[in-house]
Amino acid sequence: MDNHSYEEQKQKYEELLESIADKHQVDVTLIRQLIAFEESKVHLERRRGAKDQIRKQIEDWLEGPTT
Amino acid sequence: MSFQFRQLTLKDWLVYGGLETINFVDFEPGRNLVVVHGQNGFGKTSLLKALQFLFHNGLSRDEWYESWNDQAQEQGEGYLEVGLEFIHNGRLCNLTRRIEFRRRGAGTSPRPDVELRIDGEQITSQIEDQISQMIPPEAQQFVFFDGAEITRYAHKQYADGVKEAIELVLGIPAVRNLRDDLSKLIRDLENEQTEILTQQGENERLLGEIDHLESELDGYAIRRKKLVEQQQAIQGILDELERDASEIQLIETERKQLSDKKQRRAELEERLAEQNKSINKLLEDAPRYMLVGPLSQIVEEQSVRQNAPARRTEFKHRVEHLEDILDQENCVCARLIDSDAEEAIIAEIERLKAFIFEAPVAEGNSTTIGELGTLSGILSNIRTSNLDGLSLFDKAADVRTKLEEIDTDIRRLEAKLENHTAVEVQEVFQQRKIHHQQLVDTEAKLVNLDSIISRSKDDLREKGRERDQLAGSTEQGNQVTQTLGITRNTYEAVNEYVEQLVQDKRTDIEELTSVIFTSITNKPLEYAGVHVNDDYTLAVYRRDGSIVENTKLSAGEKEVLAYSFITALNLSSPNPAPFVMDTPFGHLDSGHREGLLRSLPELNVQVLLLATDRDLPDEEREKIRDAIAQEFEIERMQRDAVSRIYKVVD
Repeated sequence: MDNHSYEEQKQKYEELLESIADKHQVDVTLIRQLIAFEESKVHLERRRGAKDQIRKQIEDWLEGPTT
Repeated sequence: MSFQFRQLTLKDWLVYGGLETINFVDFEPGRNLVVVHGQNGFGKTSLLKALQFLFHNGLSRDEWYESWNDQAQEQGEGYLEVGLEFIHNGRLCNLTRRIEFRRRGAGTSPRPDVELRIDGEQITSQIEDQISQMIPPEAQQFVFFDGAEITRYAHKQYADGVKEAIELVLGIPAVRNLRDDLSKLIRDLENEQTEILTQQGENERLLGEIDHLESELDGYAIRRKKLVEQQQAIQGILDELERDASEIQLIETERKQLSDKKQRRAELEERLAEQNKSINKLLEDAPRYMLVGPLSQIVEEQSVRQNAPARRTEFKHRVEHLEDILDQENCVCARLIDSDAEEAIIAEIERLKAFIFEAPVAEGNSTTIGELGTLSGILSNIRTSNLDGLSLFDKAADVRTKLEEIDTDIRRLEAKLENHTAVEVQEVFQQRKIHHQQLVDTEAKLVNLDSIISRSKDDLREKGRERDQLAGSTEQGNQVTQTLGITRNTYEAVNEYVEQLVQDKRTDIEELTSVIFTSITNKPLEYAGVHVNDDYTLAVYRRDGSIVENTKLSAGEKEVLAYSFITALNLSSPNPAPFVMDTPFGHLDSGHREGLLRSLPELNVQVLLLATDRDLPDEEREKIRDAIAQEFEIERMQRDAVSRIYKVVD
């Protein structure tokens, strides 16, 4: 069980996300930011305006990508 | 550790009157157990309920009153409160849930309130959402649980909603929602491009083609969905037919076994009959065997007597010859006859003479040559018969045992086959063939359709690029097109990530569940692990790879399986929460209980174990002594009808 530590798992999925983002030529920070946004909404019954807020985040990123 | 409890406070909560506090020491791997001892009815479950109430107030209005300590209620007003200080994702959190009871009119009116501080800063909005992110309501069953919860989960693992709850714990829905939102956003942005191009009024042909391709793809999608449903339905029928066919094959195998056993039985009966014959013969000949000694003596003596005249003549010649030798100085071999040789020759002459001059036997007492031949024959038969009586009896007993065994098998098989009427074997195999062909045809149609869809998508992509180019010629269109480009790429990446995530998380849970389950089960040499199916149902498999039917697992084994999965699930979640286990040993025997206790120190989270002395007897406690970070004892002040928590000092 020790090899399934939280940190190791987290690292594994981070690396997976990075490699997929790289393959599709997308900044991984943008995806992380969007996933974090969805995580904050996931428990809500109505996710009103989620799509528009994602668009806003993508447009903001286009104007000046975060590093 | 990214999630750990530091201090729990209770105020007038259930059996705890006044203020009670538990201070937790910092988490330390391998020394992660906090044990709260208490007898039944003293307040262990009240602690579990306090945490459930704190994170997700699932109590009804009536239950608020029931949760308010009886003594406090007598005062007519006041409040109950549960508070927890904890570390979550490196941040210090203080969560308090309180219900105030105020006198109003003739009665008391409750007013619930919740307060959350993160790193000292009070959260003012969406508090419940923030709490849900820490421990989702659906995941609470996997974090704060009791023996009954494990038993329930062991039985309800196939219920609706469990899959969603599990995926939520694993953090999958958020990524899936992102994929869906990106897909919708792509559609919106493409529509905006179309509007821009329509306003330009020069791109009717291109927009018409795109529209046509999109409609075509929508049609294909409907066709594909129908084909997949058809494929699944045929597969379902085929699976059922396969089961029928296997059953038929099994019955046929058993019929063959029955026939073989009957054949074998006939052979054994035949062998037993032969052995019985030999035994009877042995018993008949028994007196003769007893006479072997005397008979041999008679035959020997009589044969000597029968040959006496001829032998007398021969002996006379030999006497004459020996007397001649005595008259000479040298022997026929030319050696000198010494006194010893002379004595030996004289002794031989005397022996021969004694026989020659012995009185002949009376006629009536002597045996005829014919009788002597018969006696010799009998003796020879007895000597050459090689009959071993004991071995013969052993062999017969062995055959009788085999017959009894085979009779049991025959009865079992006959009883089993009795209820099976003659199955229409040919019909089943024919149907199987037909449906197999239908499945092959449907799969071929799907492959063909996928190829058409792929071509149409390529065409649409091409047209999309043209649209992007045209739309990008204006400032507004350029912004939309750029956003669309990024959104499309992000969608592709997230789509791939979510597919991989679901697969990998399931594999992680499967591995972890297997490790935990095999470390606890009483049958580690038999059970090799646990399969987690696509719908998160569980199946234990043996070392030879065969699946153990769920109905074959005992109540205790099901609970161990459920516990293993629940634990693995929490540990596989993005942010594992401390476990709170209230008397989790339900149906477990001492072997399973010991295994479960042994597994607790290996969990990489804080574990709050609420246990009676039956759950954790002294000898078991000693075995996990090194893993216990703290111990508390609940004491009941019976006169005051309140419980108190004391820290146990070694």
